[in-house]
Formats: sequence, structure tokens, C-alpha cells
Amino acid sequence: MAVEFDQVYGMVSDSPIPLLALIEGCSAAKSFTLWFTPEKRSKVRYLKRFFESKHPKTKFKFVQIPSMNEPAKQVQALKKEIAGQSEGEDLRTAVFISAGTTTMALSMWHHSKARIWISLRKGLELSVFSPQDGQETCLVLGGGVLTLQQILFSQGWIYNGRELQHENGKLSETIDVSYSESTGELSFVKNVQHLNDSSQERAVSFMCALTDEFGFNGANYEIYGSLSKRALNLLNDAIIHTKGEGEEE
Amino acid sequence: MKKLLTMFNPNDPTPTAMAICSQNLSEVHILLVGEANYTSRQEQALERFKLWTSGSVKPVDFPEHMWLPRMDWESLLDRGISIEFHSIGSISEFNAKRIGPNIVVDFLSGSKELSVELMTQLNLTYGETSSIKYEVTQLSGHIVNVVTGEERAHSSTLSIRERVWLTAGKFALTGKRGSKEVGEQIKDWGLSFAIPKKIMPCETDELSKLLSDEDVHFDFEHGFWLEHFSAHVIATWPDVMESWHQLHVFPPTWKEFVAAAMSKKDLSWKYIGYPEEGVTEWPYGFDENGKRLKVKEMKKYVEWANNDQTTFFSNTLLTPSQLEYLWNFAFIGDVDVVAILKNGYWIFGECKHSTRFDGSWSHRTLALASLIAPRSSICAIIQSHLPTMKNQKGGINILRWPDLKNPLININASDTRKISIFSPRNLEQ
Repeated sequence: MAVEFDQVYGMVSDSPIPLLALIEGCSAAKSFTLWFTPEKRSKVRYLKRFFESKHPKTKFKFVQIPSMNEPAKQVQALKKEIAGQSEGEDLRTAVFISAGTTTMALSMWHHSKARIWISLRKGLELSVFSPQDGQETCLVLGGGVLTLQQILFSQGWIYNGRELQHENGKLSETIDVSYSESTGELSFVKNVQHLNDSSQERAVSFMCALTDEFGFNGANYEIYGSLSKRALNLLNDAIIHTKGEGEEE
Repeated sequence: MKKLLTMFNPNDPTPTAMAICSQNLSEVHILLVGEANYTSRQEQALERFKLWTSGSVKPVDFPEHMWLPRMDWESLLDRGISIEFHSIGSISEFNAKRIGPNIVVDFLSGSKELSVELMTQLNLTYGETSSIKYEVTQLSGHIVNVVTGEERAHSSTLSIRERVWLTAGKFALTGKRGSKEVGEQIKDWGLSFAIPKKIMPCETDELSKLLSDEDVHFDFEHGFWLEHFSAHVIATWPDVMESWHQLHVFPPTWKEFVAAAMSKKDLSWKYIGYPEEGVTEWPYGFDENGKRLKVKEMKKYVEWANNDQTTFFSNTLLTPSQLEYLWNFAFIGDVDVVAILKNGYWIFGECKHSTRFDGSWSHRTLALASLIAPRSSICAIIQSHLPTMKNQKGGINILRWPDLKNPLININASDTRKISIFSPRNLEQ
């Protein structure tokens, strides 16, 4: 079922999948206003390129708001921008609340006067909820709506089946990357068996960089194989570490 | 009088407690959404939170005479704050009329979905023009109104000891607080290069007097002075809310506490009066000379020793200095310097005043960071040997102590773009 809105408000966050799912699930919307902070500025050109090429008839507006460190100014900016955008119009507006901070989400919700909010649940299920009458519509994105290459491309990454490389050419590492269309989960698995200590540390460092790039909760991150103590110390909470077959506990 | 309405975060009660402190309203209503379906871990988090409100996290079996009164904090009752919990299955079950419209809602704690749902329900109940204030306490302690964008200072925030308890369920003690005033006086201290491969401060007698207001004379050959120096100088950084010399983290049960203290090699049993033969009967027999028979299984010996030692401490009244001495050894994790930044990040520092550098020094700092603040900590070794390094080595930042005069190497740490330099993400090293 296509959900038609005049406009949808959302935030650009680390994890690409919520925003991509929103755009695909609400592709009948006339326009999207996507707010971003200076911290996410580098992602915007890739997202813009991707959305505009995939949905040429839809209007995408990216608007910068103040930094994460200035939440009060963010609220004021959202209030001003939203008032300017919807002045004198009775628009069917929805707010996407699964990306951005609580301050941003609540501020968007309040100032937009929207009656519908959209959130993302597991398994690429969008919940479209009208709190006034308690009505909820669930949109399950079918297989093929998003592909691995599309998700990576929307963030400026390319995967050739062996190496993951950023378009700026600096970051590259051999890694297994997969995407489950049924669960909507992105997975990065790095095999460190047979790597020396310094390569292990580099591999862990690369995986930590991916958690920054795709969000702590935005993907599954796994390192397979034994790690030196120094490399283990580098691991952050988002990365699962599993020992290889035949390796000692 | 305004009342506070907030939601309990069963995954980490810290934000709930932080909202209560920052708002400082005398009547607090906490929604326990979905409490009937809490996991055991979430139930434990609620228990931790309830203990936090009581002002003392002393376990029931922990003897009163072994507890340090300074481990406690002011209870909410003593602060004039009363709490009412509302256990509900969903937000729609909450009858907002019960508490009236004269409320401040703080959304720091709780998911975004629940927050939007609560805001909507309150608006539907009382109308959008009601006097309800919708606010979010920020990690910096400031409070932001999500409707008007007004910002105000918080009333108070959580101490480091409270944060460690709420997040990790461990007791914590800090040493002396870093002083910004002292830090300003000492941060540009003159240097001496008299000892090869080790940068020393000059005029050490004068520095010693500034570092501690107690009558402590520091030995500048060793590193203790550097711990105090670092805590004071870090206090001058613009983004630091508080810095402390030393953080000790203790296990949360009486048995583990005794085991942690008594397993330290440096602890003198004689000083605390614990006899070598123990105080309870040896259960594994004696030889013809009356000597104890050895136990083959180490586990059995450890079990007996721990029981014997807990019996001893449970029945022995230590002098105040003996008690302080024991607590000095009972930690399971420690760092030399700790600080909290305005954006909620922690800095953990290990101080090493040495002519060499050893990568293994980072282990305990990293271990403690992963226990207390795994996603938001910056670890550093503050040392006298190597130059300050821009890129991390093994997950740790290496700072030369005279460079502490520049906030994190000229970095405004509350700017996440700059903080990222200190995260393990630099791939070009």
C-alpha cells in the first residue's frame, strides 16, 4: 500500500538503512526534508546523489542545522525552518523518528504539527502511526527494494566482492560484506586468521571505523579469528569477536 | 509546584537519575513502561536505581563497621524529593490526569517512540497550550526545552561514584578533585632535562606545595606527583566538568570485596591484624607435628580462605586508618586520573613518569574504560618519555605531560568531529 504524504521530515544519521527504508517505503511522498548536522555533512552529497537518481520525481531537500553540541540552537533552527516551510498550507505531513536524537525527534514532531509519525522496526518494517486515533499501518519492504550495492553506494562505498573501498580512495580492506533482504541487516565480517599482530590491529581499527561510518546499531560487525591482546583492546562493543575453527579458547 | 514526569530506562538507569538531579523537583513520577516483561538484567537495573535513590549502595550483608560513610550520597528523601513509580503496559495506559497539568516532562530517559507517544498523549489530555514543559536534559547537564529551544542550567548532576554505580553496578571512590585554579598556576611549569630520556619539572619544592594542600612532599623521581599534576591541569580544559586524581572501582559484594583486598600482594596482614593461620578451624586435617595438611585442590583452599577472611572482618572492628588501608587494596580496577567532559565523554588516564614506555601500561585503563564507559571514553597514558602522538597506539592516546597545557592537544573535546581523532578510527597510521 502506498502511503501518500505531501512532505516527510527526517534526520540524517550514521546508519543508512533507516533513511533508505523510509524513502523506499514512502516513495509516493511528494517531498522529503532531511535535516543534517555538520557532523554528518560528508554523507549528504552521497545520499543526495543516490536519492535523486533513484527517485527523480520526488523532491529532496537537505537542510543543515546546528551541531550536535548545540541542541538548543537545533530546536530553534527546526522551529524556524519548519514554520517557513509549511506556512499557510494544510499539508499532509509525517515525521520519521527513528533517526536523530530525542531532542530533534520531539522538536520535529511538535513544530511540524504532523499527525503521523513513522518509525522503523526490525525486518525492514515501517510503522506509520497516528497517535490521535491509535491507528497503525505497517509497511514491510519487500525483497529487492534495497540491495547491498545501493546501501553502500548511498554512503560513498563500493564493494567488489572482496574489498570494501570508499570513493575518496583512502579506505580499503579485504572483508566479507552482505545484506539480508529479509531481515534488513547489513553485515561486515573480517577474517583475521593468519594475520600478523600489526595487520590485526589495522583490521580492528578498520572495523571500528566502519562502526562510526554505519552506526553502532546500524549493522552487524564481526571479526573472525584470534586476536592479539593489543588488538583486542581496540575492539569496541559493537564488534562481535569469534574465534576461528581449531583455535584455542 | 511543578512535578517531574519521566520514563525509566531499564537498559541503563543513568539517564533517569540524571534527569531527576538536573530538574531537582520535589515530586517525581517515573513510568515503568512494560515492567511486567522486564528481563532479569532490566530488573537488576531497576534495583540498582532504587538503591541509588536511597543514597547508599551498601549490600545488606556488608558489615556496617566495614563500610566507609563517604561511599554514600544524599538520598532523594534527604534532598526533599519523593518518587512515585507507575507500572504500565504501554503509554496509552497512563492516566495523565492523575498527576495534573503542572508538570515538567524530561525525555532524556526513554525511547524516541515512547517519548513522542507520551508527548502526544499529554497534548491530547491537556491541550497544546497547557503549562506542561517538554524538556530534555542534555549530557552536559543543561536542560533544553524542545518546544521553545530555551536552555537553562541544570540544578545538579551525578557524581562519578553515582554514575559508576548506575551504569556498571560497582562501588567507586575518587581521590582528590583537580583544581582549575591550581591547574592554571602549574600548567606552564618550567622543565628540566637533567635526567636523560625523562622530562622532569624544575623547582620541585615549589611545585610540591602547589600540588597538594595537605603536607605531602612528592618524590619527583616517581610518578605520584604526575597523577595530581594531571588532575589539576586537566581541570583547566574548557570542556572538562570535573577531574579527579585516582578512581578505584570495587566489587559489589562483601565476599568479592574481601577477596579483592586480601589477594593483593602488597597488603600487610599484620597491619590489619589478620593472623597468618586464620581465625577459623582448618578443616583439612593436620600432620603428626600439628602442621596443616596441604589441600591438593586450590579451589578448596581459596574457598576456606575467603570464608575465614570474611569471618575475621565481619567480627573485627578495625581502626579508621586500618579501614582506609583495607579499602585502598580492595579495588578491582583503577586509573590514576579520571575526568568527565561536558558532552558526557570520560577521560581515563594512566600516569607514568619513566625513562621508557611500555605498551602494556594501557591494559588496565582500557579495561576500566570498557567497564564504565565503553562507547564514550578517551584513554590516555600521560608520560615523561615519548613525544605526544597524534594517532592512537593500541587504542590509547600517548601524551607527554607538559603538553597537557593544551586541552587534548588543542582540541575542543566537546566537538565530536575533533573527538573522533581520539577514537580508534584513524586508518592511515
